[in-house]
Amino acid sequence: MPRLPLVCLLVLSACVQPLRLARDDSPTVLAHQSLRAPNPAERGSYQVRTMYYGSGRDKRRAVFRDSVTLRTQVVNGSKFATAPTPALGRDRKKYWGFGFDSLPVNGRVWYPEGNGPFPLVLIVHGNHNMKQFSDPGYGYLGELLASRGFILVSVDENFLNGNIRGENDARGWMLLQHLKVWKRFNDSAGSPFHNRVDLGNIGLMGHSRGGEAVAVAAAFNRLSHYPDDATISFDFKFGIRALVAIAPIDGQYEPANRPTPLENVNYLVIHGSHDGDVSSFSGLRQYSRIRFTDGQPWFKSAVWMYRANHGQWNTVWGNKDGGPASPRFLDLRGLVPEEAQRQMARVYLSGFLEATLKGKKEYLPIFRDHRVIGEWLPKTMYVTRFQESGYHAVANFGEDVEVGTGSVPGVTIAAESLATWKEGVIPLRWQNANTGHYGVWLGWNNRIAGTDTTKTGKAASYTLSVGDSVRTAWQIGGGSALVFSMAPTAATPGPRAAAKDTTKKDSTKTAGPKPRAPKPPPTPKKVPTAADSLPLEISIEAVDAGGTSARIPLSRYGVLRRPIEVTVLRRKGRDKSNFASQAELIPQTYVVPLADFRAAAPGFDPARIVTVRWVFDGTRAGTVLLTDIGFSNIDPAFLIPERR
Amino acid sequence: MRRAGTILSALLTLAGAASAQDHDQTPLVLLLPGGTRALGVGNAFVAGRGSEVLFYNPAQMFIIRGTTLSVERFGGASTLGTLSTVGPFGKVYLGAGVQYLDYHKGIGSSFYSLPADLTFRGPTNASSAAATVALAVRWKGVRFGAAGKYVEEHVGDLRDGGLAFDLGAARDIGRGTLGLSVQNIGKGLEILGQPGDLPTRVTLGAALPSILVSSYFDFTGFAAVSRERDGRIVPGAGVELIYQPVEGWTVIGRAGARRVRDLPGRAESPVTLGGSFGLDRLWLDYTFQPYRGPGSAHRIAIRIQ
Repeated sequence: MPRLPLVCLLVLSACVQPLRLARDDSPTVLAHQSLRAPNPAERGSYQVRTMYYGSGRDKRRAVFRDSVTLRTQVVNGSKFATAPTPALGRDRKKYWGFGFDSLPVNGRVWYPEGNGPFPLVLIVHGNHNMKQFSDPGYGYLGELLASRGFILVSVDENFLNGNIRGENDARGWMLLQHLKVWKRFNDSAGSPFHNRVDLGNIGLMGHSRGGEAVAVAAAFNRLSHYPDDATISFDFKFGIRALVAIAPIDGQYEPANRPTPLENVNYLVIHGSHDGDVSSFSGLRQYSRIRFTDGQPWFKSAVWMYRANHGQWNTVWGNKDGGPASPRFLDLRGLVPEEAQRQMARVYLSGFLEATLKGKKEYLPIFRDHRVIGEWLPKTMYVTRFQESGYHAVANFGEDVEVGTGSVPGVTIAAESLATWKEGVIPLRWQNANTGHYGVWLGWNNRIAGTDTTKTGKAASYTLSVGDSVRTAWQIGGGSALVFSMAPTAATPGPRAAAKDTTKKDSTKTAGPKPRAPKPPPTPKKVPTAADSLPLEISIEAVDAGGTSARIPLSRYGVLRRPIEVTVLRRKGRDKSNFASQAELIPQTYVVPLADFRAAAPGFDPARIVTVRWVFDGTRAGTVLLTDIGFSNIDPAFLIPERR
Repeated sequence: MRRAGTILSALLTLAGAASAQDHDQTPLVLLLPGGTRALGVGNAFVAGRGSEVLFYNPAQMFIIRGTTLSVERFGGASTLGTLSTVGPFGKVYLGAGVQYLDYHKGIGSSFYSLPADLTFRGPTNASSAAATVALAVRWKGVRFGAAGKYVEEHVGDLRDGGLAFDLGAARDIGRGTLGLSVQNIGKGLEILGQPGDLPTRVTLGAALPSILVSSYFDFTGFAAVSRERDGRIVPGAGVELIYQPVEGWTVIGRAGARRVRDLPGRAESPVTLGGSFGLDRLWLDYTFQPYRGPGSAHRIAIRIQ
C-alpha cells in the first residue's frame, strides 16, 4: 500500500512532457553588436508625465472616473460589437454600467515634458478576463517611449473583452475614435496638448486581438464607409505611419468577408514560440498581405522569438497564457524570464517607432537582421522576415501552378538533381491553417544509393534566370541586393539513384536466357541516430551575362537553422495531437548585396546578372522551403555600416 | 419570483401530503443515495453533474453525457448496484438507469426495511429495484426533465411493483447551478396487505461554482434540502477539493454530511468521505460511509464522461 503513491507519481510523471528546449545558438548568432547607435531600449532624455482621459463616470475604472484630466464623449459602437446573447448583454451592461451604444473613450497617457510636437502612439491590449484590466500592463513601454519623445496612450478596451466574438472591427474602430479625440486635444487652444501632437506621425500598437485591431484601424482609416454596413460613413484619414502587432490573431474580423488588406504602412509583428494562446504565428498572414505600392519608403518585418509566450509583453497578463490554471495544461518551464521578453519588446518597438515616426534610419538594420544587435537582445533564438518597398518579386510562387516560371515575364526556373521540387501554400503550426502565402519545397540528397555511403554525386541546385528586360526595368546594379526567405524543414530525402551509364550496351536486350541477377548485398542494419541539429550549409551562386560566376556561403547572411520543435502543452503528446506540426515554418529573410558577389569574384558585373543558383553543397541531404525571391534597390540604411 | 415560491410551496405540500398516514416507505432502493459522488457530498446532488444525476434530477442530465456503473457493499450483508447512462439525442437528452439492491431482511413487524438495516444480515432474502428512463430539454435557459420508473420490492416470496415519476428543473445562476426536483410521485406498493408509500420528496439544491484555490487546486461545494413524504426536512451538503496536476489528470477528495434516521442500535453515519481519480474521460469514484452498528458501507464507481 505505501507503494501506491509512488506508483501514481511515476505514472503521472510519465504523462507530463519532459522539458525539451532546442540547442541555443545565440552565443554564436548574437555574438556581435554591429549596429552602432544608442540602444533604443534605454531611457531617453525627456521627463515623463502621466495623465488619464475618459468619460469621467466610469463605474468600474476609478482612474477613468476620478482622475481624468480631459473628458471625452462616449461613442456608439453597437454596429461593431454585440453580445452573443441578450442575457450576456444584460450581464455585461450590469457589470460595466454601459452598453455597446455608449462606449467610453478612456486612455492612460505617458507623455514627454516639452513643447513637441511629439509622435502619437496608441497601444491596445487584446482579449483577457474583462475584470482584470489589461491597459496598465504596458506601463513599461509608456515610461520608455515618453522618455524618448513619444506620447504613448494605453487604450482601455476592457469593455470589449470577455465572452464576445467577432468584435475586432470594434476594437479597431475604437482606436480611430481615440485619434479623433487626440486631434481635438491638439487643435483646442485650451488643451494641455495644444499643438504638441505630431498627427502626421501616428503609430498604432496592439497585442493579441489588439494586434489585429491595429490593422483593421489602419484599413478603416482610409475607407469612406464601414465595409459591413455602408450606412456608416468614415472620415478619418489620420497620419498612421507605423503599425505594431504583438502576438496578433488574424481573421477574427474580416471586412466584407475578406482578409484585411493593407498597403503603404510600416509594419512590425512579433510573436513568441511558446505562445499558449495564439499558438501559431498568425501575424504572418497580415504580414504577407501588406503591399507597398506608392513608391514611398516603407518596410515590414516579422520577428519570432524563441521561448517567448503570449502574455509576458503585458505586465498584467504575465506568464499564464491560459489564465490562473495555466500550469495544469501549459508548460511554463521553457519560457524566458518576463523581463527578458519585455526587453525584446523595448528594443524592437522603440527602435521601430524611432525609425518610422522620427526617421532615425540608424535603427533600420534591426528589422532586416536580428544579428546586428547581439548585445541588445536577450540571448535566445530569433527568426526575422523582412521586406521593404524597394523589393521586386522575381518568384513568390503564388501566381500560377507552373514551377518553371517566376512571378514576372522573363524569369525561368530550373532544378538539377533535386529529390523534392514542389510549390504550395506555407502552412501554419495550427491544424488546417496557413499563412496565405506560397513557397517552393526543395529537397536533395547528394549521396548515391548503394553500399558505399561516401559516394556522392553533383550537388543539387535550384536555378533562377532573369532576362534583360527585368534587370533593366528594375535598374538592378551594384547597389541592389538579392532577397529571399528560406526555412529548412524536417524532411530528408533518401539517396538518389545512380545515374545510368548510357555508354554501355544493354545486356538485357541480348537474345538467350536472362542471366541470373547477382544476389543483392544484405541491407545494413539501420542504426538510430539523433536528429542532426547542425544548421544547413548551402551556397548562393550568381552568374553574369559574361559567364563570370561568384559563389558565397549563405551562412554569412544568417543561420539556416533546422526546425525548432516547440512543446507548449504540459501533457505529453498533446502538442502532437493538437497541432499540425510541432515546429513553426518561418522562413528567415536573407538580404545578399550583389556587391558581395563582386567582392567574391572581381570580374562579376551585378548589373548584368542573369542567373542565381542555390547550390546544396554544404549539407549532404535536406529540404528547405524557399519563398519571396526578388531583387531590391534597398535603402543602404538597412544594411549595417560595414556593408553599405 | 412569487410564482416560483408558490410552485415550491405546492410541491412541498405534495411531498408531505401523505405524512399523516404514517406508512412505511418503499422500495428501499429509492431511500438510498443514487450515486457514489453524491453519497460523498452528503447526497446533495440535485444540481450535480454526471449520469448518476438521473437518480436525483432528470433536468441536470442536459449538462453532460456519460455512463456510470457503481457497486456498494453494506458490511457483509447487502449489495447495491447501479448503472446509469445519459446522452444527447437530437435536441433532447435521454437517460436510462437501473438500481438493484440485494439484502437480507431482519425479523420485524414491518415488511419494509430502512437503509440503517442494511449492514444487518437477516434471515429473509430480499431485493429492491428501480428501472428508470428519463428525458431532459432546455427551454429559455432553464433545463427541464422528467423520468418514469418501474419499482419493485421483493421480500422472501412476496413482491409488489408499480410506476413512479420524477420531475426536475435546473438553471445556471452565474457560474453555479440551482436545481429543484420532485421524486417518486406515484401509488405506493403493498406486500401481503401491508401498504408502503413511495418515498416522495421535494429537493432544492445548488452546486457552487468551482473556485480556483491555487494553480493546481479547485474547490467546489454542493448543498440541498429535501422535504420527505413523512414531513422530515433533510439537509445535506458536501465539498470537493480538486487537484489537477496536469490537464486530464484529476484527483478529488470530498466530504459530506446529511441528516439521517437515528434508529435504536443502528444508524447510518451522517458523515461520508470519498475521493475520485480521473484520467481524461475515465473516472474512478469511492465513498465510505460508517454505520453505527455492525459494518460500514463502501461504494465504488467507474464512470465515463
